Amino acid sequence: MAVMPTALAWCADRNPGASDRSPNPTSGERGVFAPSPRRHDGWGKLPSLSAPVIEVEGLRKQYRRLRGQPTMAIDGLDLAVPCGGVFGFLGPNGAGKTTTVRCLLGLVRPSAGRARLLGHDCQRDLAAVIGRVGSVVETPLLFPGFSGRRNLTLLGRVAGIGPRRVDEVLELIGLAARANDKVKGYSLGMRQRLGLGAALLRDPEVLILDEPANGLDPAGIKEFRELLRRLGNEGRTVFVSSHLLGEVQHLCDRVAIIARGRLIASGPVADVLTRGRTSGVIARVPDVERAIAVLDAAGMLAVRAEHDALVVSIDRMRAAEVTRTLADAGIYVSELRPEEVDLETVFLELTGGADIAPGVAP
Amino acid sequence: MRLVGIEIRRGLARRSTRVLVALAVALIAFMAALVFLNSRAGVNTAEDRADAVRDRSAELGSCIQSGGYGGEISKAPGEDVREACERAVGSVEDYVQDKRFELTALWPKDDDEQRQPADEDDDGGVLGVTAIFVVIGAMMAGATFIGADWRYGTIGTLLAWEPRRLRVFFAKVAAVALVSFVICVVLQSLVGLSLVPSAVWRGTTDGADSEWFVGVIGVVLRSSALGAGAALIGYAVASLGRNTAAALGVAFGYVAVFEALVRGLKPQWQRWLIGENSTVVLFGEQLESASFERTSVEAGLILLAYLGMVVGAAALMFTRRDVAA
Repeated sequence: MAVMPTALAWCADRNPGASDRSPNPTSGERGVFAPSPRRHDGWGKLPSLSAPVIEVEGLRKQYRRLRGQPTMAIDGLDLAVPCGGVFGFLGPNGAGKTTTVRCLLGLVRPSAGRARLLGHDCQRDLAAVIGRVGSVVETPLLFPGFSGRRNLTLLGRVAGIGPRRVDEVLELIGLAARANDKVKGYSLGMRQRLGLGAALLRDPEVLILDEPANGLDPAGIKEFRELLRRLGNEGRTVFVSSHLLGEVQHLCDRVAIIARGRLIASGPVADVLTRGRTSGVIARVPDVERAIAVLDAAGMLAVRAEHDALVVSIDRMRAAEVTRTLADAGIYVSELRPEEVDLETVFLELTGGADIAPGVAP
Repeated sequence: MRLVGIEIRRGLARRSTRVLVALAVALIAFMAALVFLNSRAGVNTAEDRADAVRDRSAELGSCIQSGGYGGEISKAPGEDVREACERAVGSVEDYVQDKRFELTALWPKDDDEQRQPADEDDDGGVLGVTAIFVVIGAMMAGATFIGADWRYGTIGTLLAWEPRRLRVFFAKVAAVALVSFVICVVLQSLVGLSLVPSAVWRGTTDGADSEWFVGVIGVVLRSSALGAGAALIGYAVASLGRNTAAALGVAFGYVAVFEALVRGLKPQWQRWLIGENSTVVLFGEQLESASFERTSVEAGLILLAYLGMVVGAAALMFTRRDVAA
């Protein structure tokens, strides 16, 4: 029988089904980095939203300036992040992602609204839960004159964590060989890893990561993604703020998109991808204009996609009707595939094409 | 206590702390070597006499060449310029200097039962002079301690681990006060110890009795307390401005400009200046030019009140302001 680590108590207490996602107790003392015994196999098995780990209600943050107009960084944001899995927090630069994260960590005082972490108010009662939360805000900020090991050791002492755990984490993040080098000699990617190591030191139930893939090379991003995925599968809640769409799409179970400080869309990635869309198929044909006319006459909406392809708005299960209709008219389809919508497209539609980066595909 | 311990470790491991201490130790060693080399064991030795003969000859030559310092020397009847100058410059004995190092130079012995206000030209002793450098160094160390936190953004990292800001702030306050006080005590003691060989082998320990020793311990502790206070002022101002350089600029601007202006324009306000009150605490007496009388305890309380205000303001701002970057 699996033993639920104390770090996962919140999800277990409020979402009994989440215990299925506990780590393998035989593979490691703390279970955090143990290979996941099972991967969640569908959105239906995600924990319910009844007990969100992160809860934001009507959050507003206005920065006043000595000169000029005040800046509204967050404008009435509502957000609920359920237990377990990886949650993507997506938005263009300046959308309010980092400010939201800082509000969650008590670094920034909201102008209005409230933010709760594991059921505790982030402004008044954060100390009660901070030991169960690991975080990296933007570029990890550590003492450049100290070695990676000394930085982690000093932070670990705040929570009474000893050198053994520091060594474990250094090993995990792949910095053991450079642990005694000064941080100022680290590359951005290495600093990012060290930051993640600091976040993992306390064996956290919730990980809050702001732009964690900054500075990582493609191999590093892949490793990073696998690690976060594994942590999410263990039942931990990994909250990842990013503007790298590919990263979010391939990493996260759920996603929230914000723009100009407001929530635009939220839900499982698959739901957000198909939000407000009719699914369709793409057909490659020799005569696109004639094919569109034939399909139109048959009551199917079709538009040109490329010079020799068209998109038909039809349920994918009815794709055969397209080929039959076109074949009856003497037009033979050389290729037929479902239309794939990526997060980038949805994001651009929802945010009006604000500043984004496509991210790295797997 | 755990946080205080962490901050103490960090404070001691910081490069700026180590550089400042190393610099201070090097300067102390240099000073001790100079004193040792320039001291002479006995009085009226052959070397002293040779120096005295040389010095007298130079003075005599100068006198003769200038025609008796331009006629300033009154000549006796029948006396020529050389004879008048011979009489005026005195004997070789007058030029023999006592080059022995006296241990009591560390801290002048208070011989008077009723100590009078110190003259501005009075020698405050070696420890009185080094106290000024110790206080300046401590203030710089205190300012850089929190300034580095803001500069590198590590304060945000720490607050993400311990969100109780007052606890974080005062842990740092305790660490700064403790570390700076101990380092000041060590450095001032080192100053004293480094001059002992000069006194033992090339000077004298006359007058260095137990009463004098208690006085030395007192000035070491008082100067170290002032150092700790200065470190806290530097820390608090740097915390308010979130910047080391700004803190140092404000501190030196206050001491060099504001207090100097007050002394010149409003002498009656001197009693409230940090410089004057620090002098009273350090030396246990007012400067002769001071227009007020105050005991060391009173001066210390005034300085503590100032310190409380600055640190309190910094703590308040630390708890209320956003940590945005």
